[in-house]
Amino acid sequence: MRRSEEAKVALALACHLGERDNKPLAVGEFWRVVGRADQLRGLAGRSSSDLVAEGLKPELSERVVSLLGESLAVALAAERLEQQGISTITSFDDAYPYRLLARLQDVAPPILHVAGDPSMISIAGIGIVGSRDIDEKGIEVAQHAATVAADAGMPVVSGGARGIDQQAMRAAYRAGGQVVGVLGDSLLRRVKDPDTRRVILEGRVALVSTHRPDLGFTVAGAMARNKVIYGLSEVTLVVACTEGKGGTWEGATESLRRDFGRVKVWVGDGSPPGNSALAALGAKPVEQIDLPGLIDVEAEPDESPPEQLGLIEEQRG
Amino acid sequence: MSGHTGQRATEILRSMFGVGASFRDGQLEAIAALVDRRQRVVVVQRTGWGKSLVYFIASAILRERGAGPTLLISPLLALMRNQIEMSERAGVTSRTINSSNHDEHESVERELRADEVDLLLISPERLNNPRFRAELLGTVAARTGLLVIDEAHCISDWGHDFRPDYRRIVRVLDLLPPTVPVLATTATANDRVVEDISGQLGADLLIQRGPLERESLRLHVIGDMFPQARRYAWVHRYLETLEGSGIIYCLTVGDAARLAEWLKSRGHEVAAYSGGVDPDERLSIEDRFKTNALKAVVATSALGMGYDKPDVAFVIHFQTPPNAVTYYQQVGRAGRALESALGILLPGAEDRDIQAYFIDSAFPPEPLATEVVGFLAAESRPLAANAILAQVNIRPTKLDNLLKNLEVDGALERVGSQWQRTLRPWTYDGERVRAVTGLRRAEQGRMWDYVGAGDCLMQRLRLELDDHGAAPCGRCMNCTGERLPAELAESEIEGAAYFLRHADLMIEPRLQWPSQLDEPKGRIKPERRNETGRVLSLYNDGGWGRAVAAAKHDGEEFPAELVDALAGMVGRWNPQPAPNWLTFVPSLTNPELVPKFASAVADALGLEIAPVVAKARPTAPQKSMENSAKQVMNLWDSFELGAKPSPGPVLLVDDMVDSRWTMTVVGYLLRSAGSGPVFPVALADTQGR
Repeated sequence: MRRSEEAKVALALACHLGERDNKPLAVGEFWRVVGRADQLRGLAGRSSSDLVAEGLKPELSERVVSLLGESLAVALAAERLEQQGISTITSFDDAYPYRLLARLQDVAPPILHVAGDPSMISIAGIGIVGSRDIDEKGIEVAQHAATVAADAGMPVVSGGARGIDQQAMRAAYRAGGQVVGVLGDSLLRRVKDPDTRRVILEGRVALVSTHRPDLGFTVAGAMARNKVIYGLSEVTLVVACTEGKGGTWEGATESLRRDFGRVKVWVGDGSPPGNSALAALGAKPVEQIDLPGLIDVEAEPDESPPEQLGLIEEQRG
Repeated sequence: MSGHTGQRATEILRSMFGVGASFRDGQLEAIAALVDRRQRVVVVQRTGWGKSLVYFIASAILRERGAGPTLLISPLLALMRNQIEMSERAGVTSRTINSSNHDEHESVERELRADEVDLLLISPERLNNPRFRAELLGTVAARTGLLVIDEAHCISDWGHDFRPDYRRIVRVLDLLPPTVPVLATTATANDRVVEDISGQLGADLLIQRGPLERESLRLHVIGDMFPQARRYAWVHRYLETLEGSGIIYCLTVGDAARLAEWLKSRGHEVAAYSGGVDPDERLSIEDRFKTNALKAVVATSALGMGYDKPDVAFVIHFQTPPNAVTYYQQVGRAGRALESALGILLPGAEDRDIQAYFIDSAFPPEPLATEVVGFLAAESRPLAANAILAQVNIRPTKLDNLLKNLEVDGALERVGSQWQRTLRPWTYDGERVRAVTGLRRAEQGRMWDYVGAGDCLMQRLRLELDDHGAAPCGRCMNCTGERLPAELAESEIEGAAYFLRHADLMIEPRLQWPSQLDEPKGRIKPERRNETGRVLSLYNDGGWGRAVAAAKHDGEEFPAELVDALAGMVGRWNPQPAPNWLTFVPSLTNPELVPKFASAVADALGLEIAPVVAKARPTAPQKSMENSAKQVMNLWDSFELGAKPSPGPVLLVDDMVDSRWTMTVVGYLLRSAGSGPVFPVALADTQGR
């Protein structure tokens, strides 16, 4: 694998691995640097005054130079993870799903950690999410949707949380399909489990983390990963949510507001009231859980990977 | 180049070596590339050119300018004494963390955290040690000012010394932007290897390659010494006629040990140096050699990298190395600081077989690799190597090598002291194995071309390393027509042959059953153990071994001279209490060979023969059982006694002994049924053959 220089620079700037004296760039800071700096390639050779001349604030410029100076620590830590089977992918790597980049733009996480086959996360999948509190009907719907996806050869993308997420993921696996779990924490701990290792090795499951694989649960982490579920999927089906409360509602409304992905919500018999509230906010209502219901034949945006910088500039304009 | 850097570097050089000192061509350029441009640099220069001076001075200047410490990755255990001195004179505080200085680790760590260390030397194995990587290395890595990869040819598959741990260094480089300067150094790399290294280091690379001229070296091949006894005789006769002290290289640990013993028994001041020698002993030998208290060190390739005695006057190769690059590296140890030095190659009859063994066993075979990976994948949890041995038919040392290879492939990982399948997809890279093995065979062929060459030997070696400027040296035996004396009297050769034939070897008794088994289990009770036995030869060696191999191969009968030799050995040995009967280990596949032989031996020794041991069922050939657990499982229950053994001490005869498990199981049977002490005796030891 010959990574591009941009990818290596991105790793040094934004990755939280390794014992670092300097705080890696947050998502917003990262994309600001990418947008301002003349080019990421060659960034390693430029001084902080060069960067200030290119439009970066002095503190940020200093920090960029210091972060690059720590790159060996990050490289060693990333290689160690790679050794264990967890890849570290930057937004400049080919393996990074362009769909995610196109949808999330300047909140796209610069770094993803993937356990399992990284190419799985670029396959068009169906997101299935819902609250932790579940009822029979909700389970049924989640499982049914998962089976529909699996039958259509589309991976099921979900958050791995207890409740709807796990029901959907298990059902997809049982139906012979692929599963992409987007985690906000504890990737390393999860892949210690023998059953998890087995299904990952089989090539049917990939786990993606937006956070350092050794970090435990944080609310921020859990929230941050929601947008990735919507961003990775062709379309995401909300099976159950509560109006105004909880991660599912937050994630869905955020995606609607900022157009991170195509949000659908089940409104059939037995669906909770929160679901219709979500529909009122713009989520496409779905009564029948079948393939045409999940995947509308709509005009799709241009599928070819856009020139990344150009896209960001458009966004600013 | 910053005038500043050039100036400072020269200042430091002069403070080390005096006002008249100046840099060799390329040294300053390399230093400047690293310090001023933070470039990646590959330096391919012969030993003694001054590669370490480049990184010491670069480190000194970088540190003066506020950079963090240099990380030097090298297979050396420690900087050689002269290198430590050099670093101190350059004002560079060097430390190392390795397996032999545990007591210093804490203090080094403290110094590192206090930023008092200018250069940290670690081995590639240590770099990849999970705990070290997770703990201490982080402190250093974030601040590293310069990364030096020594013996960089080890990165390359195509090199003569590929090391799996170096492969991971390559992966780290693939994650590293060009912020930290990187220096890769080696003395032995041909075009392909340089290309490979360069590919790994990326674009914007400074590559320096110097000529590999060894001005003081005179190369010779003494070709009609194929039988070992002749070479033994030659070294004994001519060693003291060579000036100064030197190295005698052998291919195997056993050969080095035996040759050293021969020479010592003839009054020469030599010592054997190999992986089979205790590390403390090895250090002591290095010291004695350095002070010229030894005439020669009889060594395997374990006396290797970085060993740098400047006045090695001769390097004799007792056997032919597997390729010309290895030969160049080893013979190149001679004459660094001398006007004249000798490189003598004595090709031997056993060489091709040994070389072939190395080539064939370099890569684990696909079925084994697949089996081990599959086994661990199915288990889905970490397992100890022992547990793998119980399941998979593989030798322990081979398993170690296989696990290491699979670890670097990323198929397996260590969890504590155990092994686990990683999450990385893996398939056996048969292509690569075939390609590299093919290359090795071609290299082996070219080594033999060297042996038979009539043209300049040095030029051949240099061309093998793609040193395109190489011209005839004017000093080797083919350029000058000089021939080293090689006459030997018959009696001298006979003397050596006698030694080889009487280097009686022991058969040590097994004390314990393999730990992985449930039955039999634990210690073997003293009253059921064998006594120490004797074996006449190493299978196929220069002594009796070839005769044994020939007879076994033809399958008919062991000739009378072997009967006499074995009887003679028993006579010399004189086991006590003296055996009053003899028995043997039966075979279903060749039911005549051993009994006839045993009968003849019994006659020669005047002992009664009683064939009390019988084969209960067929077994797979023991030599196909690769580890102890498998071997014992194969044997247990496969022998039975046809009659009660006599209560007296007994000679237990077999033609071959390998792992000793057969002797152990049969001896155990005999003792359990009431026989006296059991003395195993065999014609040849096949272990490792």
